[in-house]
Amino acid sequence: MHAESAVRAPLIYGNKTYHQITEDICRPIESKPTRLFMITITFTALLMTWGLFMIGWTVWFGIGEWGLNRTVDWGWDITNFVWWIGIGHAGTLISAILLLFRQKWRMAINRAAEAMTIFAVICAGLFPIFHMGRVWLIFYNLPYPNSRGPLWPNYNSPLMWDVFAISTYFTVSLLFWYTGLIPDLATVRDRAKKKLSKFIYGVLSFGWTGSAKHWQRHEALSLVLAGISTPLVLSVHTIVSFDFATSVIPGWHTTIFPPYFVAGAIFSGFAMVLTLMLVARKVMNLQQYITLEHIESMNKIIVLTGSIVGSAYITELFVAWYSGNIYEQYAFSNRALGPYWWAYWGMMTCNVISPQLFWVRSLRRSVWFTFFMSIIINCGMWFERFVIIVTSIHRDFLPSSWSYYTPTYVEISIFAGTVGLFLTAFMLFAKTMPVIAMAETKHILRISGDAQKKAAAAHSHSHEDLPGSIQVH
Amino acid sequence: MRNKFLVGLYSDEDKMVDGVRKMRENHLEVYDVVSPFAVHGLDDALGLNESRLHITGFIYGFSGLAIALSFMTWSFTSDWPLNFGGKPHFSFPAFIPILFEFTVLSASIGMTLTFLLRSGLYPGRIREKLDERTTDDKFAVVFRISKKTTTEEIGKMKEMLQSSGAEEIKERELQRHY
Amino acid sequence: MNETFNFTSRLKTISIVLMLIGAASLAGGFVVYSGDEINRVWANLLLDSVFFMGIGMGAAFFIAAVYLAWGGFSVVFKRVPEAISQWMPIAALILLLVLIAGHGNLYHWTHHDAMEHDPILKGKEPYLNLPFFFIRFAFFVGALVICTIFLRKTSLKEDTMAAGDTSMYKRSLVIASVFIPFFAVYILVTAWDWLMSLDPHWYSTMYGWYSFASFWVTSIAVITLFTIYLKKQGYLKEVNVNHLHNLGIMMFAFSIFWTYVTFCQFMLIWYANIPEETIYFQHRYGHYKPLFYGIFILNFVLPFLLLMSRDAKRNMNRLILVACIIIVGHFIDFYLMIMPATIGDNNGFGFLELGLPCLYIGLLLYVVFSSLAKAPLVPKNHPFLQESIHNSL
Repeated sequence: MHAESAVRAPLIYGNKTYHQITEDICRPIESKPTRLFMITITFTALLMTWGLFMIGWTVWFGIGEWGLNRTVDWGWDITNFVWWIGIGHAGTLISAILLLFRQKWRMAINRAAEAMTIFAVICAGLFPIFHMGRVWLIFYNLPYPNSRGPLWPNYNSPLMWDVFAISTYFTVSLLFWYTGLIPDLATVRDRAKKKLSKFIYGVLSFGWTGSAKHWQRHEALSLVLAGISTPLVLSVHTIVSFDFATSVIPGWHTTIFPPYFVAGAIFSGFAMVLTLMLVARKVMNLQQYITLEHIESMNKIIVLTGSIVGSAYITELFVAWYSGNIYEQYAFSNRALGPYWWAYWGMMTCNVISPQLFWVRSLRRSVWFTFFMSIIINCGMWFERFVIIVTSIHRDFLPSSWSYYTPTYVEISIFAGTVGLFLTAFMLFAKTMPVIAMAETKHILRISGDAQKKAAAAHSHSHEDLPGSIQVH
Repeated sequence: MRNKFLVGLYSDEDKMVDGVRKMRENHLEVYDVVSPFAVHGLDDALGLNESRLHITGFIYGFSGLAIALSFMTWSFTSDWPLNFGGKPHFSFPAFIPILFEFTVLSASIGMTLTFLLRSGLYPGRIREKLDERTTDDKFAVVFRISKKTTTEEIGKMKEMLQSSGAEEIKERELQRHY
Repeated sequence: MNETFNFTSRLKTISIVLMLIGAASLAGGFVVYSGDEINRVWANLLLDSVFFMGIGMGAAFFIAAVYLAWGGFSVVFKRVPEAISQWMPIAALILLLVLIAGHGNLYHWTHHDAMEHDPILKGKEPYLNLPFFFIRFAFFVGALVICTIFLRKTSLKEDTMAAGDTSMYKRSLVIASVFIPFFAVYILVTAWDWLMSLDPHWYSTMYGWYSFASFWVTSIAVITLFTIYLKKQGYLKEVNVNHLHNLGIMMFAFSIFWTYVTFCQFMLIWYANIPEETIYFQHRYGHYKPLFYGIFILNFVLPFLLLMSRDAKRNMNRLILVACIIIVGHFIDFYLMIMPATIGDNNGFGFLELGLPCLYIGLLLYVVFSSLAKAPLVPKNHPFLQESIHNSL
């Protein structure tokens, strides 16, 4: 038996039944694409194509097409890499950590967030791969018996750890997402009218029937995958932070980087989930599934992680002063007052000050304000990575090497292209697959549906045996 | 080989779970239950053994760990020892990130494949459907009717399905693995 | 539902005996280690005061965090962390006394001439000076203590409200949201003040997280021990294996979290190999090597292996075992933070190290049990009560 407190708001509105959930979530897949959809996806696909062309351009002419110089050898590329990887953290976080903490509100957003994770990791992966320059030698990263000795890759190198971390993260996220999707794809298959879609969803759903033993194994698998994804998701951004923190560069070498990067990743990931889901919920009519409660819960996580990030900035500043190390002290005063001051203050405003507005309940529950803030936070987190990477290295130990970095149109185009790739992929996903985990939403309907909650509350009032609480068998 | 099944469809999962429990108490062998989502308490009512999938996960993960540790140790201490920044050849702290990642990778790939294999799921697998609504909002309790099943037993099955709240009862002839 | 805890005279005797043992060993310490070795007594006092203060702070944080996360599972045993949090004001007082009396022996930076002859320390003077040190203590600890007292009062008042009245619940939410930011800042400051400034030249931005992870998991272990004790004595009938499972998950997860933070801090310093930073581990390696490796076994390997399976987390005796391992392991962890910086290689495990914690344990038991006896063991009117009773995993 389950009991849920009456103070918890329903998570599904509109007196839904199981069948209506199926209808509501399958409708966007089964209906014809709207004109708005076609126009938007054409635009994003063009953007993507332009970005891919510019990647080709980089491969053909070399990294010299980018604005990097001898001092600033990591610029927009690694900034964008870290930014995208950070965005890719919300999906697994929502599915895995919230599953372990039994937070029911994850159900409405986990599927879309996981898909977003996968697309974001793809976008992220492009940057280090093409930053290698001679991308056709990428297999040098793999530990295979080679003709160079065999000379093995350096397992002590954080960049090598990254190769393992990102590819593991991508694989595990994909497995987690797809195994969760199989039952829902079977639902779409069983509803399909056209022969072609019957066939395609038939192939994609792996012959799922919903047999009790299969469900049991499926649940066991999800739980264990969630269990191991939780440390995995923490490890990925931790290892990304090691790229910087294992060095001796002032501003990079600081022990707080691992948890602070992870908090920042969750922060930006939730912001991106909000950006996409606020649009999706409006366009696809999912307001009854992605409710203000969901938005408020996500905004609370944003305040939490934003405050962790803020306290980490302050810790860094304080310890830089406290250390008595003049290089540390200079690195931080240069961030705030040096040539890249605008990035630093952009970061501080967007990441530290503005999320604190979410302490106000009415702002947490305002859709428009949340949407606006989600964009602000995404910008802020981009600034953060730029500040960490570029401002820390543009002042070398040797003043004669000091330089300034500006991106070229090639780098900007590649970044825009990844945004296009991300949006195109997400829109295709939303059009062809159930954006909300149907089976899981049905699972919580009895406890968290509005009609069901009301009925249960009425039931408990008539008995007067359970003050302030309702029970569902 | 074709098999005959007796299928009872329910709209209410609680009635279905109670029904299954009663049927088993009455010594009827429930062949399967097909549902649109994992129903709470059903495993218990059906008397399913606990899944051992997590044990396989542990084995895969541990093997991955062992492989990664022995390979890195071998290649860096005996096959081609290199000096990286004066650190020892066997730099355990620096091996930990890859050890962890490889453990997780092995465990999750291994477990997922085991799950798919054990459940007979693979791309393009086509199974005959019991009822199209079982992935939407209906819960099906399935009995298998073999040559040995007497008409008496079939009658009892139908009666139990009916009394526990099945809305539709039908016989279906399907492949062994529907 | 109306059960109350009976603080029996037997328990009173046990806690008083423990206090006496502790007091005797403290007195013995001042006699035996008078003279050059007196630092050993002060270091032990600091160690125990900080460690037990952390347990109280962690319990208060537990309550506040569960409120803010809308957690329902812990309501049936909520009075346990509440009672432990009532220990915090007393622990704070003891710590304050130790700091006032012992700062000269413990903190190198409090010596005026040391400051004058050391340009690096001189640079830190705006932060590391005694008036500001005690102002920080008074301000933050004061805020935490006030929030804790209010949380407790609101919780007790909730019992007397009409059924279904959530006004006290809402008030608790507000108090918790005031508590958390103070706590978040202060866990950083405590770590810098009480522990990191023992090595005044050394610095690490992770240090606050590291010490927090350590005392937070200790608090969870202590909460688990008290809950299981009450359960075994026949109290807390509503607490079932699912609640134990939840506590088991928390001990398991935060042991991993501690390992994560500790490993990251160590690995980054080891990897970059900057002498100013590695000196910290240099001091904690040679003479302290067995302890340095020991904490990884006690705080990571054993809890990880012993709590990995689902059945283990639902087994009372297993949880008791792991909780004890965690408490001992993290005590040693704090020992490693404090001893190398204060007494260097003159450390040891003698009557003082074993006896002095008894004083604190006795006090803790006395305070916790008397707070438990003052109120019903299960909150009556908490909106998540039914959810907690029917909690299932």
